[in-house]
Amino acid sequence: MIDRIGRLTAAEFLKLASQPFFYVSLFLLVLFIPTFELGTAIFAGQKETAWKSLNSVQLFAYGFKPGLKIATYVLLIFSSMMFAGEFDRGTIKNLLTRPITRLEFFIAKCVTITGLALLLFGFVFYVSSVVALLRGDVGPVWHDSQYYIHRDGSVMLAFARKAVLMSFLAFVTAGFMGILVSNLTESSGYSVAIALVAFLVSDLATGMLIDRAKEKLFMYYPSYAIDKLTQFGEGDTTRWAPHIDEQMLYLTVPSFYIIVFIPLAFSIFRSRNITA
Amino acid sequence: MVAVLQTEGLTKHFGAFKAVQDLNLEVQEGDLYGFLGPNGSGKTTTMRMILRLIRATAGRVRLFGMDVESEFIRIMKDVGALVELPAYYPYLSAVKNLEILRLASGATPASRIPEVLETVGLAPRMHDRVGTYSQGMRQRLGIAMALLTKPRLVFLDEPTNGLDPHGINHIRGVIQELNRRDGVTFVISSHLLHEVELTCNRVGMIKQGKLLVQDKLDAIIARTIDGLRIVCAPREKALGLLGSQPWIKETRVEPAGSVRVICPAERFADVNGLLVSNGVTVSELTPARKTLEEFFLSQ
Repeated sequence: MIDRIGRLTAAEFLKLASQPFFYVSLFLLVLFIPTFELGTAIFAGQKETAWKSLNSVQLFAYGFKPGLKIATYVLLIFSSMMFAGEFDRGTIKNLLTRPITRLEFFIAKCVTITGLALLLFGFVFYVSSVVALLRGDVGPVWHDSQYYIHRDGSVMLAFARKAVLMSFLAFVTAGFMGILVSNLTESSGYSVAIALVAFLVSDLATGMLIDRAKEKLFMYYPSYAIDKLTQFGEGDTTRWAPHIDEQMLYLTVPSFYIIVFIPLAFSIFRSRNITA
Repeated sequence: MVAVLQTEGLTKHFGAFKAVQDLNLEVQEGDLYGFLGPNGSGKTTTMRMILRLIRATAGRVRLFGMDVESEFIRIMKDVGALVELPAYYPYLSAVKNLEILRLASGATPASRIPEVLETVGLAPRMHDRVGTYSQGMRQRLGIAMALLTKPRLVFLDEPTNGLDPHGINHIRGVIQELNRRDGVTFVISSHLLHEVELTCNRVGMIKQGKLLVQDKLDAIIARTIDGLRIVCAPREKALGLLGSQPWIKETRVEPAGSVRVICPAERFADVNGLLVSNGVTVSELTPARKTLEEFFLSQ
């Protein structure tokens, strides 16, 4: 079974790597992350903080947030086409008449989306970090007027590390949301449209809801984590919300969604007649 | 003979619509089985049920003597299929398309890909994107996909769709060669009776989801003999004599001038006796048969 899933996953990556959109997405990330990262620093100007100069964590946050947002949409597009695209083209019947089970096929798709999420997340992290390190500095931040070290470099990095980790699972969850949507329709166009609209509406809703309600939405956590990092990077005195930290809501909430999305998507896929 | 495919009471209902009803198919090893029926008769639905793409409302499917529900993976190692229109990734080459299926299939070596593309006549364009292929080339690719793993049993749904006469002839040759040389069993669904007549040795006919007849092609052809074709003189006298016999269903003059008589086979000698004894000169008397199409439509 593991051998078959491995082979199917390899086939999925072969398809993925052959799609021009994949490379277009990476190009867009390379283009936009430095633009946002440097542009925000230049145009927003230096805030009245204790920072003497731009620091890498601040720059990283400027690039990582929009980069992750773009990557989320890319992930949603790919994941929402995962099954619907096979139905659309009819290639699902080629694959399901091979010596594999539907469960193996489904797992291979999930593994591929998790792999793609890792790749995109890593890519956004890498590009944001490279630009931040080239343009800014990592180290203790000196308070110019009061002559003392305002924040130690290691504290800054620890905060950034936590913000990045907090946003990861929610990012992956968007991929599983795409997989669920992909099983609701046999048209990849509709599937992508539904997934993007659903995510966009939920994302906008996080800006309108009260905090306790927002915290129940998985897509809240990347924004929350990186906004905190931005504030921290800009020199604000900020800290993680204690209940989110203690209850590890950034892990439990996305996990809950994944636990709902995966079995639901599989039960739809398993019971479906292949008439494509 | 071993039955490589057996269906027992295979039934599929889509709501109130009965697409396939109580279908009992039997395909023997080495058969070139023609699955005939008009559009919408349930051929593709049957194939989909056999391949477990759709779930049957009732009935069982056995391939190589094994239940397809419980032994699916074992069975499908020896099965290839082209169901309805060929499906492919248009942004990939034929080689990459087959590579994906090779990975999904398991133990097929990569060297099999150019080999099977050569078999179906696609080798010169195998590295081109499939999106640039003609309909006939896509059909050939679909057949290559079905043959990729060197299966023992191949399902081909309307395999000559979109092919020109040369392509039809080529694919027919490939099917017959694989059957003769490697003993591959083919189940070929088609609404083209002539095509099935030229390719297959056993035939199942389906109409409105029900199996009308299933037999060797020779036996079905024998059943299509329904009378005589007679060249005789004087013709008018012969027509008068034959028309007065109650056991003759129909007489008519064919465009070529011969007389077509529809009557039971056991009365053929009586027809000759009747004409000769009444002074009609019979210069030619041959059994005449319905076309397979006429036979099918009369069922």
